[in-house]
Amino acid sequence: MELLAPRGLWMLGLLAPLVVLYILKIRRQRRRVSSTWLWSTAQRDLMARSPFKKLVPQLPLLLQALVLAALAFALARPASRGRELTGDHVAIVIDASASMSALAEVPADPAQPGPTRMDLARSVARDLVSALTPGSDAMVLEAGREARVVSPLDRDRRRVREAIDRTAVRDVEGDLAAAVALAVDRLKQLGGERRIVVITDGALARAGALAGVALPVEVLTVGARIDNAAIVRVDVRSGTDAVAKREQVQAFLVVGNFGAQPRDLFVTMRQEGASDVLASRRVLVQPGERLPVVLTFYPAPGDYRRGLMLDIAPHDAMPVDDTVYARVPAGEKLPVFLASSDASKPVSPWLERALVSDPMTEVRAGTLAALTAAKDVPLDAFVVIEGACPDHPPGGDLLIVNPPAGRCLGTLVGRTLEQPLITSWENSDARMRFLTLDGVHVAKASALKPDGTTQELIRTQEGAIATDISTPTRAGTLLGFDVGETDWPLKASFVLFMRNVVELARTHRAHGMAGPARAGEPMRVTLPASATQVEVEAPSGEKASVPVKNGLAVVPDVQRVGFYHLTWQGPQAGTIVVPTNLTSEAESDLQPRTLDAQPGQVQVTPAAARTEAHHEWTWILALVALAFVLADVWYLTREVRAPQLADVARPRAPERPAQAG
Amino acid sequence: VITEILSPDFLRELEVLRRRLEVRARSGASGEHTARRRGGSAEFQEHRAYAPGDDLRRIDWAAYARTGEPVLKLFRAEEDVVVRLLCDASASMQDKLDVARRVAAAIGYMTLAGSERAQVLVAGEGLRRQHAPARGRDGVPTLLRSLASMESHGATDLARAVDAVIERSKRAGMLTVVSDFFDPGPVTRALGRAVQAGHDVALVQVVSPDEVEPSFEGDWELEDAETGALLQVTMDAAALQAYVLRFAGLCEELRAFARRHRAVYLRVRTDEPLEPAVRRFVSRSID
Repeated sequence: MELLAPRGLWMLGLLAPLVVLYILKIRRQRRRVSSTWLWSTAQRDLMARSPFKKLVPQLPLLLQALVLAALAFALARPASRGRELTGDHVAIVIDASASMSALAEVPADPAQPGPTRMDLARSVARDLVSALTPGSDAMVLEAGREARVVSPLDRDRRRVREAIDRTAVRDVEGDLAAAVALAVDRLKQLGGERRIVVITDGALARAGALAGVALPVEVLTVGARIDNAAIVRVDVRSGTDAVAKREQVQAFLVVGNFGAQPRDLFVTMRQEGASDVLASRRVLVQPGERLPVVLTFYPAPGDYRRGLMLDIAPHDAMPVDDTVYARVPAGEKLPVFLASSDASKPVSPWLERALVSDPMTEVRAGTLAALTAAKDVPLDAFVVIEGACPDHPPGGDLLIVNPPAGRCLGTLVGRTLEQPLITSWENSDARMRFLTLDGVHVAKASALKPDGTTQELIRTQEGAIATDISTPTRAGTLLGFDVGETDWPLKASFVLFMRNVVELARTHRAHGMAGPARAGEPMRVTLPASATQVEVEAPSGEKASVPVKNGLAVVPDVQRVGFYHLTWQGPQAGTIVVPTNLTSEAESDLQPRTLDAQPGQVQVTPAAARTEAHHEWTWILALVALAFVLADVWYLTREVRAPQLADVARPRAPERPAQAG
Repeated sequence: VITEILSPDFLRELEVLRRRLEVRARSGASGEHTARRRGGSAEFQEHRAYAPGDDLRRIDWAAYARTGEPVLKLFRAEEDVVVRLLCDASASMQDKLDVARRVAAAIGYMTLAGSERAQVLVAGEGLRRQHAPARGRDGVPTLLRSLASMESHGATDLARAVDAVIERSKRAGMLTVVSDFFDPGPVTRALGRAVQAGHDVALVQVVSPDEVEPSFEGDWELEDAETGALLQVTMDAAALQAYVLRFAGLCEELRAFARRHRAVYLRVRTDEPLEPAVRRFVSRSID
C-alpha cells in the first residue's frame, strides 16, 4: 500500500479546527426558566466558565473526524500493487531523447496540453521504485545521445526518486543501446537477480538497440499515437536572384508530416532576436510526405553571419522540432586582401591580375602594416602577403609569396637557389590539380625546409620551393619565389594555381568556422590560432569556458537546439553564432513502432497496462466518507425523543445543601 | 372576584366535594370537623383509666359498677379546623401563580363553605405575609382577595416559611403548601417538623409542562427566574435524560414524605383542568 499523492493528507490538518469547533462554546439563546437548580445538578459539566469546554466523546465529532480522515486519505490516492518488481539489482533506464518532450497523448483541450512523455516516464519510474522488493537496490540511467548514470545502485528509495526527478529531456537523438550497455556493465559483476527496465516512447533512432542484451530487459512504453510535423532538413546558402541579379539568401527546408492527417502549415523565417518575418510560405503537407520548401530574402550588409530561425506553425505535440536554426552565410564574393611588405614594393601585378580576374572576389590591396591594423578583416578572408611573413596574419586562408629568409609559419626559408630546375609537384593536392609545371623556369627562389611532415608542393633538384603551411584552422601556401622572376604567369598553370587556391579559400569560407552543429554531438569550431579560450553561451543562457587548442575549440555538452554564441579574446578577438539543430526523423516520428528486440529476452509492456495493476482505493474511501456524512446528517436531523417522566425507573434524588437542623 | 378565580360550575363541584374534605389535625375551637384530640362532645371515643386530677364528672359509673375500676369515658371533641394555605409567590411561580391561586382558592372555598377557618400565608424567602384567617362563607371574598393580592417575585425559602408558620400557629391545622418545590433548601425537614407539631400537611406541586418534559432542543443559556443565574445547556438526549431523572427524584422525594406522614401530595400541571386535582386532594391521594 502506498500513497500516490501524499500531499492530499493536508486535509488531516482540518481535524484541529474541527475539534476546536467542538470545544469552543457557542453563542446560545437565552431562556428564562423557573429554576436552574435541577439543570445545574444534571449538567454540572456544562458550567465551566472558560471559552472552551471539556471535549467529550460525541458521535457527530467522531463521524466528522472519520469523514475528514477518509477524504484526506482519498485525496492521497492510496494504492496497492498487483505485483512487485522482482530483482535484487534493478537498473532503470529512462529515454531522454527529444521525442520524450512530446505530449503523452492528444490533449482534449489544446489550452491544457497535459503531461509530456518524460513526465509519464518519471511517474512510471517512481512507481517502479515503490514496487521494488525489500532489500533490493536500483540505479537510474539517462539515455540521451550519451548514456549517463544519474544515480548509482542505491537502496534508499528517496534518493532514487530524487534522481528520477533530476532526469531531463535532451534535444538529441537517443541511444538506448549505449545506456543499456552501460547498465549491463554495471550489473554484470553483481550477484543475485539482475534486471533492466527501460522506459521509452519507442521512437528510437537506432533500430535494434535492445538486441543481444545479456540481462533480462523489461521495456515499458509511454505515450500514445500522436501526430507531429517537423522540419527535418535545413540548409542556408547564398545565391543570386536570376531576375533581380542580386545576392540572395536561400533557405532550403524539408518539412515532414508524421501524422495521419494533412497539415496546413505556415513556414516562416526570421532573424535571431527579430520579430519581423523575412519570408513566409503556407504549405499543405500530406501524411507521410516530405515537402521541400525554399524561403529567400535579400541580405543587407549587416545580416551576414547572423542567426536565422525557421519555424513551422501552428506548433504541435513536439515543439522542439518545429523550429530550426541557421546562420546567414557570408557574402557570395570572397574578400581578398593583398599586402606587400612596404608601400615602396607593391604586390606583384601578376598576382593581383589573377585574383581580380575572378568576378566572385573582392580584392583590396595595401601594406602589411595596414592589413594588420585593420579590424574589419573577416576571419574567412583570403590573404595574400608578398615579401613578408608575419607570425599571426589576419584572415583565413593564406598565400605567402617570396618571404624573407628565416622562419615562416613552421618553415625555414633558406638560401637562395639560382635557376632551380623544377623536378616535381604534388598533383594530389587540391591547389596543384589540373596543372603542369613543365616548361616553367624560375630565375631565383628560396629553398624551403618544413619543420615537420608538411607537404612540399613544388620540388626542385635543390629542394622545395613551394610548401604547404596549413594549420588546423586555415589553409596556407608558401611560394619561395617572386612570381615576377619566373615565366609562370605567362602560362595557364599559374592561372589554374591561383584559381585552385581561391576556390579552396572559397570552400573553407562556405563551410564557415563551424559547420552546422547537431544537438548531442560535440560542436567543433575553428578559431584564430591566437585564441586560447572561448566562452560559450548556450541557448538557455548558461555560459561555459572551453579551451582552444591549435585554433580548434570543441564544445562537448551540446544538449539543446538553438544558437550558441562563442566569444574569444586575443589579437583576433571576435564572436560567432553557431546554430544547432535536432533534424531527426526518428525522433520526430511519434507513431508507435515495434521495438526490434530479441524475443524472450526483452519483454515489452505499455506502461499504462502496468499502472493498471495498481489498485487505487480513492473511490472506496470517498464512498466511506459519503456514508459517514449521511450517518452524521441522520444523527443530527433525527427527532430527539424526550424521556417521559412516567418511564423513569430509577429517579435520582435532588442534590440539596447540607440539611442541618 | 369569586367568578374571576372560581367559575360557577367549579363552585358547584366544590360544594359537593367539600363534604368529603377530611382534615386530620387538631384545633382549639369547636366546629363541624372531628379532631384527634379527645374532648367533650357527645360522640364516644374510648375509655381511659382514671388518674388523679381527672374530672370526676367524666367517670363512667356504670363501668365502675361492673368492673370495680374507675375509668373515664372520653368523647371526641368537635372542633373547628384552620386550613392554612401557604402559597409560594417567589419569582419561579410567575407563570404558575394563577394556577396556584386557583388551587388555593378551591381548597379555601371548601374549607370556608364547611364553616371552618382558612388562612392565606404568602411564602417567599421566608414567610412573606400572613393574612388574617377567614371563617364561614362570609370569609370567602376576604380569602380570595388575599389570594388575588399575591405577586410573584424574589427567591424561595420554603423551609423558613414553614418553620415560621409552625412558630406562629397556636393550634395545629391543615397546612397546605402550594409551590413548585424548586427549592434546594431542607423543605421536607421543615414539613416534618410541621407534622410533628400536629399539622395535617398537604403538598400541592404546581408545575408547567416544560418542567415535566422539556421540549426545547439545541444550545441554550438558561436564566434562573429567582436568582438570575445563567446556565449553559445543550439540550441533547443525554441532558434531557439527566434532567428528567432529577425532576423525578424531586417528585419521589415529596411522594415519599407524603407516604411517610400520611400527607397529601398532588402534582398539578398548569395545562390540565383543576377539577380532577381537587378531587384527588379531597380523597387525600398521593400522586
